[in-house]
Amino acid sequence: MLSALVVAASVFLGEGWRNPPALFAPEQAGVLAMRLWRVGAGVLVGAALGAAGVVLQSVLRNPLAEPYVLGLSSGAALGTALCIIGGGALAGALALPIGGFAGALASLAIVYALASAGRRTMPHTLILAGVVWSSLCGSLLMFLVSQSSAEGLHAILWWFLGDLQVFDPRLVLGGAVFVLVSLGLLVPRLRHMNALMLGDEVAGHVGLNPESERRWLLAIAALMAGAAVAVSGLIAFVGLTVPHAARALVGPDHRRLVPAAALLGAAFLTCVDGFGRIVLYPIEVPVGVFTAIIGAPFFLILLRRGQKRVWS
Amino acid sequence: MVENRKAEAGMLEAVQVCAGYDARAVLRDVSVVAGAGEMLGLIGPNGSGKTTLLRVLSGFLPCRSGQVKVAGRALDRVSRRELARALAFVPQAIEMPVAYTVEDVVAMGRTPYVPGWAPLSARDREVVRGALAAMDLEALAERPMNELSAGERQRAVVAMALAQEPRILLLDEPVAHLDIQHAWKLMETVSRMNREQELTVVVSLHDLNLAARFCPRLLLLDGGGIAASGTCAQVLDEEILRRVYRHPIETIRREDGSLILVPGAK
Repeated sequence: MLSALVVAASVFLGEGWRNPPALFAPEQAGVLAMRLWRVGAGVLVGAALGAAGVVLQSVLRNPLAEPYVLGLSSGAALGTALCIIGGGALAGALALPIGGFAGALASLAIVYALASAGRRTMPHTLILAGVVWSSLCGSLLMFLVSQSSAEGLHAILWWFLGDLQVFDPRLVLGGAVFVLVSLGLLVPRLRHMNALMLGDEVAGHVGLNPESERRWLLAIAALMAGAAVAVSGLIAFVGLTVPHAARALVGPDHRRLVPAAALLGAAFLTCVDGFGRIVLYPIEVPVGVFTAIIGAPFFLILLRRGQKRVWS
Repeated sequence: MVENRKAEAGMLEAVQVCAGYDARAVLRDVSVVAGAGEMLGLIGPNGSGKTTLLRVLSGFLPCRSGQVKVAGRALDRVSRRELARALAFVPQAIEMPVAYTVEDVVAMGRTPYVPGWAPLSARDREVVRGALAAMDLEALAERPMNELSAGERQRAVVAMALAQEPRILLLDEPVAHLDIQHAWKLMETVSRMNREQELTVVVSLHDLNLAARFCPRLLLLDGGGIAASGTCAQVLDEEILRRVYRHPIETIRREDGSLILVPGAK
């Protein structure tokens, strides 16, 4: 309910925010359409990042896991950037999310393999591997930027900062297809996620195959993170802060937690984006900048308390 | 005929099982049968293979050779979901990284009966309530697991297993962290369900007195093999126990025929 209100309100934030009714004037129809697409992208990306964050935290049983920290987002960004350079944008609205998904999935596989070199996957090793992988992908991205034309530079850099501005509505629709498919795949597994939290042994004894469940869930998270990055670029910390806030609100049962995190993510991101449109008006601040400003201190606090098992 | 099929459903059998972890072989050629409605106690020193045997019987650890059969069917031919409806396992310790309530945890026992997306049916909720009641947990249903005492938490885990409505219940040292009162209460509950509902129970225990009191039949493991098997009187023999535990244990027979075991000085 509240999420819907926040999303609706954020439509009016931005140019002309001092006079909301003017937005509905016929000559402003183009602006309104743009604004609606942008809010739609915010809802999509916020929901995807929130839900992906919950899935990663639960499946890896690590309160610090999220698409950005684990290097999924950077991998997806690299995949998407390669797609743009390879002319994938012309191939259709689904090409970029597919590139993002491939990048995210490859990153996840690499980070997971790096971290589980020993017998058990240690939570801190996983974060470390993710951060290292993330900066490697970041460097490669920077290399691509340095090699691209001055005109393309601004667009890629802007996109790299995380931005919800919609250049092509088809991309949002393509991303929406990906997010809806992954949510559809996720719903039948919500109850299983609860049992997985109690460890592989317990999950196995209530009739699940923990290894295959885990693979499915990680692939779904990569799907969502990949689509989110393809639509909006790198938006940090939404996947981290939103699941924790949602858990505090509705508790650890995933059948409530995942929908709550998706709604909260949508509301949070559209709200922050609207804020970014007005705070330095008429200059717009990319939404990724603000989520990082809000998210980074939160992450540090969590990291400090990490040893004390904040979860339980 | 019906009686016969019912008996089959609760039968658990290991045939010449060898099993272990990585390079380490733990169980060597172990065969054991727990008949339907039987209560079998596993005893033996640390590292004798009690937990490994339970893990093999539960299907968690695959056998290297030999076979486990549930209700006469080979375990590897039964689906996980199907197995989870027939057999439940109470592990020694349970991980609890987030604060689920007792009811949440017990409801997880319904996982093999409910599709992942669907809410619990009225009957599922009834089974969960029944399991909570059986373990005397109604008052604690809404409490987070991590706020409970070790005894209460263990009861919740047993209740989760009971919510699976199993024919066979395996318990791995369920009373290891419990005080005398809670240990007895737990064993009494399990024993009562064994008798009243023909639940097949296989339980590993360190406390020989509890084993003698609650388990009509015992299996004594030593170094991954069977040292003795049979009734309490047969297995809890001073000579056998001294050999297996490498420590003198005195057995005292009371007037009612029950046994008390007292570790002696070396």
